[in-house]
Order: sequence, then structure tokens, then C-alpha cells
Amino acid sequence: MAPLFYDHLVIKTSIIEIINQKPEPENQKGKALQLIDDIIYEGIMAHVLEKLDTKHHTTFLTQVQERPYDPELINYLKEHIGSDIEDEIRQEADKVVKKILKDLQ
Amino acid sequence: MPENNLQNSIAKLEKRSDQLRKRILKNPSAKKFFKKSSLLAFNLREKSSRILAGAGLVGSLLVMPMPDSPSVPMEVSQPVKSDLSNQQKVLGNLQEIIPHQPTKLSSDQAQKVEELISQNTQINVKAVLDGQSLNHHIGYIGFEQHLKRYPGDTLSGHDEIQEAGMAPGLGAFGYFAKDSQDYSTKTYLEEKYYCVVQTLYLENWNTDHRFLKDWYAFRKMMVINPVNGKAVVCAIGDAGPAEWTGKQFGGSPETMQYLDLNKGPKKGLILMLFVDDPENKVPLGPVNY
Repeated sequence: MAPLFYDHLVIKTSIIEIINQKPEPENQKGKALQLIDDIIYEGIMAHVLEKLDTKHHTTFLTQVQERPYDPELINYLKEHIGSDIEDEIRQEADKVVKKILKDLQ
Repeated sequence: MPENNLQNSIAKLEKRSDQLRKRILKNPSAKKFFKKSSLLAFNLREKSSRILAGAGLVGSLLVMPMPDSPSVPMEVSQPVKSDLSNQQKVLGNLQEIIPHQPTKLSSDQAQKVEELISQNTQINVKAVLDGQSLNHHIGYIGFEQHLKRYPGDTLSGHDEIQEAGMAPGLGAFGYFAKDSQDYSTKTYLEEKYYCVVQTLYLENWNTDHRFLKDWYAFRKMMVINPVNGKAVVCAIGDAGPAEWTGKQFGGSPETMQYLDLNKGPKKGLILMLFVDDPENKVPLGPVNY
């Protein structure tokens, strides 16, 4: 599956390591990893939508659906939210990852 | 410690996911948008399929009228003489040359591998083509889902391995054909034997992505399983997989089946090289050599 436009801003190696060390069957680990990917996506989208003016929501969401991999999406957000949005996404992803790690304890 | 620790964690994660979704849906435009779309977690194969099914979209896609499909061959052979000794020669030598771990070949290794494969398959392969090179020539390939070939394409229109499902989003390079009228045997084969490479992690992707996207889109590659010598000429149909997966490549269900990597973990170490085919004469599909 294609990467998403924000993948380079998310560090989840600690999560992967923890899941891989679990003794449960591979299919259950896979389910957890997919769910975690969902959560990170949802966390980032929630943050972006709260920051982005509502008049741009539909355009942004449509673009994400059409070109989820496209680095231009970050530029779109920089243009309509501010140049710091890349750092903000990185920080938001870190927060979500920390919460996930807590859930995995 | 609970009997199934991960199951408890999954329950907690599901709650967290629900909370985040509620947060997203507080935005009226997002709420409206997501009524019609499965945007949440669309990048996840099975999860996304379940979401689509829950939203009733899979059913509606399946009952959409099928466009007329051209008659296409079930098996595709390369224009080379069937000669098992060539395959054995490649197999034996390749195993000596290449490391069994994700690697970018050195120029010396690349030259040996290129000569070995080109001489024995009669298909000219390159580790570096037009100055372009992937970050890995050897890496793990994972089993991908089918991709939508044109707007309105449905899983039932894919003639093999339907159980793999169809990715809800498009590949990184969009549809294979602009519409059902444009859908041809060529585009049928491009999806049937597509592969996925990590263009997004190329060093110059962020600065040159427009050029690189065009250069890589549907480019022919040769993927070889060094364990059994099976080889497929595939077209790059998507970008990925994400780095965290531990995989460097992806393959369509049919590609993975031919490589004999469609069982168990559905992944394996392979060699991936560019096909140097300026006259577009090398057909897509399994290489019989």
C-alpha cells in the first residue's frame, strides 16, 4: 500500500518493536498494527482539520482521498495553515504514539 | 498479567480510535464528507475493506455495471526460449553474488547481476537506468491488493485471486487507464503484474518529485525470487511500502503468486531491477527462461 503524505513525520519504531516482541499470534499483531496506523491517521487528520479553516476542509479531504501519497498536501497545509504545520504534525504524531505506547503496556 | 495482553491493548486502541473519529466528526464539513467516503484509514487493506463494507460501499461497487473488457490472454510468456538450464544458471550464480538482506548493490555487484540476468533471460536489466536508482535492489516484497484500473473498476472484474481484495484508494500513479474505454490489454497486464517501489524515500523525491513521479510511473521492472529463480516483468503501479513495515517492495497478487511468495507471511526477499526497454518490446508477466 502506498505511503501517506505524512509518513516521514511519524516515528513509530518503538511501537513496532513492542508489538513484534508480543507472544500473540501474527494475525493478532497485524490487527494491532493496522489499528495503530488508523489511530495515527485519525490523530493527524483531527489535528489538521481543527487548524484548517473550514472553508478548505472539503478541498483538503478530497485531495487526501485522491492523492494520499502526495507531498504537495503538506504544501497545501503550509499555505492555508502556516509554515509550522509540518512540525505540528510531527508533534501531534509523537503525542499519539506516546498514547499508543501507554495502551500497549 | 492478563491471559491475552495484546487483546486487551487492542480493546484500548479501539476506544482511542473511536475518540479520535468523534473528534474528526465534530467538524461539520468532515462529518458530511465522511458520510460518503471511507477516508478514515483508507491506507489499511483489511481494515479499510471492513469500513467500506460497513458503510455499504463494497456492495454498491460490486453491483455497478461492468464495463466491457477486452479479450486477454490468461498466461503471458516472454519471447525467449524455454530453457531450464538458463534459470538454473541464474539461480546458482545469483545466490553467490547477492546478500540475503535488504541492500543497494555496489556497482561491481550490480554489473555481475545485470550481465547474468540479461544474458540468460535476453531481457536487458539495469540497477541504474537514466541516472535513476532505487534505494534498494534487494529487499522484502509484500503481498498487495488489487488496484483500481479505471474509474468504476470493481473487484469482480479482476479475473484472479479476488480474495486479495482491492485497495480502496488509488495507486500512487492513479488509475492505469483514464476510463473504461481506455482500458486495454496493456493496462490489464500493468495491474495484473504491478509492483510497488519506495519512490517516496528517494533522496531527491521532495525536490524532484514531479519529474520522478513521471519517470517511475508504470515503468517496467524485473523482480526475481533468488530462492527459486522465478522472475516477473512488472509495472510500477504504486509507491511504498511505508518504511515501518520493514518491507521495501510490494507485488500484485498475481506477481506474488508466480514468485511463490503468496503463502504464509506472504513476503520474501527479492531482487528488483529496471528493465531497459526503450522500444517497449518486453511484455509484462512471468519470464520463462
